[in-house]
Amino acid sequence: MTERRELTFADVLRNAGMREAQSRLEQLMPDPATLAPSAEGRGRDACGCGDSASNTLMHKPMDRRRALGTLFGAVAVTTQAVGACAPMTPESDEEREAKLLQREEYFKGNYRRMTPEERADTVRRLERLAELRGMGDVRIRTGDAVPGVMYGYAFNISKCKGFRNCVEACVQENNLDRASAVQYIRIFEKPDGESIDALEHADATYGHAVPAEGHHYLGTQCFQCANPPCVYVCPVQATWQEPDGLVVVDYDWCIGCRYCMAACPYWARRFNWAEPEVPAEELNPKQHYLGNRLRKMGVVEKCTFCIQRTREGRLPACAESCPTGARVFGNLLDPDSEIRWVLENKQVFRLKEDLGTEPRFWYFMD
Amino acid sequence: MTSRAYAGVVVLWVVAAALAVAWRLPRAEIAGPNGADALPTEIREQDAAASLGTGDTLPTDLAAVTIEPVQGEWRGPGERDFYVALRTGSEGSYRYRPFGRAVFDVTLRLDESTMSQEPCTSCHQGQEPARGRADGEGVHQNIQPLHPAQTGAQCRTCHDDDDVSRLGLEGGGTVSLDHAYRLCAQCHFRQVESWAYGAHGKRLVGWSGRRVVVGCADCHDPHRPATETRPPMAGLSLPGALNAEAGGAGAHGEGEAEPPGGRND
Repeated sequence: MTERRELTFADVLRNAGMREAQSRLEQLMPDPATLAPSAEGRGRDACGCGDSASNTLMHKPMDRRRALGTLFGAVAVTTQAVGACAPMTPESDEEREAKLLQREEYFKGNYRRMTPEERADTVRRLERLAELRGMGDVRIRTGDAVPGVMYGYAFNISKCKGFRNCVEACVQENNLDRASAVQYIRIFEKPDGESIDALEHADATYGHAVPAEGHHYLGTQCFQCANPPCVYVCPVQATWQEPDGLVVVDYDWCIGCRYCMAACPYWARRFNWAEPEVPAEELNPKQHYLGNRLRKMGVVEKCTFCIQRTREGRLPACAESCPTGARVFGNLLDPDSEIRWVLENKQVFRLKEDLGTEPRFWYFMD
Repeated sequence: MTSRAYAGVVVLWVVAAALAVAWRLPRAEIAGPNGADALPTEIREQDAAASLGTGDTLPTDLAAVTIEPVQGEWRGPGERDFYVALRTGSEGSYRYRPFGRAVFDVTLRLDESTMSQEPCTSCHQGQEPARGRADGEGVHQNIQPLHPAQTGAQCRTCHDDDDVSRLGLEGGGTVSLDHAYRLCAQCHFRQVESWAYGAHGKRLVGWSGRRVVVGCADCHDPHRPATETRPPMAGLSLPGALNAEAGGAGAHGEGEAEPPGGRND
């Protein structure tokens, strides 16, 4: 009994860095001055807060989402308080903390509408949740687009030899689900002489040694279209285009309707049919909120040109791992960049240009 | 959980939070400046050091290559003029193509661990390499001279007569193996032009900041430059087995178009 009371609800929240939840809890709690004169007494007696909670709820103006969260919170507080007074089930502190963090996560807003403080809070929660799941010391960043940068990609179909190092690097970098072998990148093996942008007779499942005679290779991934149909069809605005051209998904706002997958003419998006599995020892801990952080079941994900890398000046994992130099990546707004030289001096084409999607991903030949 | 253990968790969490704060501090600097070039150098290099693949080892020994926007004249290291002798007869579009301006670094070949400890001159000091022998029979068993065999070249076509550890250029002059691109450019001028501007070859570290590319011989074995055949990585699971495993088999509509190459959505 005494051990349970060592760790109060307020302590759990405070140690989890949940300012919002803590302040909410303090609203719900009876005034500590009336219960205990010392500061240490605060939050100790968590019983009997139901009346206070309902009064606070009744008189505080709030929007629907916040009200739901508070209501849910009040139920949770009451349940926890009863549990603290008469503990019945042996639940570890970690489990309790994870539940509370998860509850807070359910009621957060769309990423684009978060204040910097709310972003910091959710990042703290997600990092802590990953730690509680045994994923180690995960760092989730929320870096915004760098002004004056528009990312572009060029793929040399003369140089690609189909080694698929890019696919391997992508899986590792982006924490893709190992169980269902999700891959953002497809490398198509095409017979020479076929129409240059035709994929009807292309094969992306080859397993023989490459390069195969009489064939060439063409890789696809998300093209970060300037006119992205996937974004327009999203009914909840869970996916959008960033100022640097990257089309991203708020995994916690996605409802899994898969309209975007139907709209994308390039099959660039992937759906999580099951809870993604990434072994902790293979997890890439350097993550971005809109990029390679851990996804969950029932949401759509996609290539973001490795937003967690490119926004810090690094190359996407696919470009960095390419053994043949077939991948050129850079800033389209920089006239001295390599990508601009390719676009201005090589013969380039894009897939399904007649659709008007304006991909920022070009193919070129030597 | 005892209070002592709980205090330990608190301390750990405070430390972790402090680390998290410290980690995020530089990020504000990234978001602030105008343009990619304003990325703080220390951030780039720090991240480069911790990145995957080739970015893991930022080469320390680099040579700067400057290409001036003049008629085919290159300025090599030390600001010395360097003329590319073209082997095509035509006053070609490539030689006089406006080059723009490119300044970048290349990795040095001589410091590579793959190079033998023994300098070539330990055997070849003051001696001319074998004439008329492209296959290097009896010596240099590790060399498969496909490239010379295909082009009818001999050792001395590329290697300097007096010092085989250097490369002899058309029209006189030698360069070290670090600057093999100057030799390669004599025939493969198209490729070297693309290389100089980034359409061929490989850039290291990142898309922003100092441009570091690998030299020709970092990817191409000079004696057999074509890409070798090997098995691919990361095989793609077949759609049927995949969906059965992932529990999504029944969720696809029957009339749904199957993308080429299978799906694993």
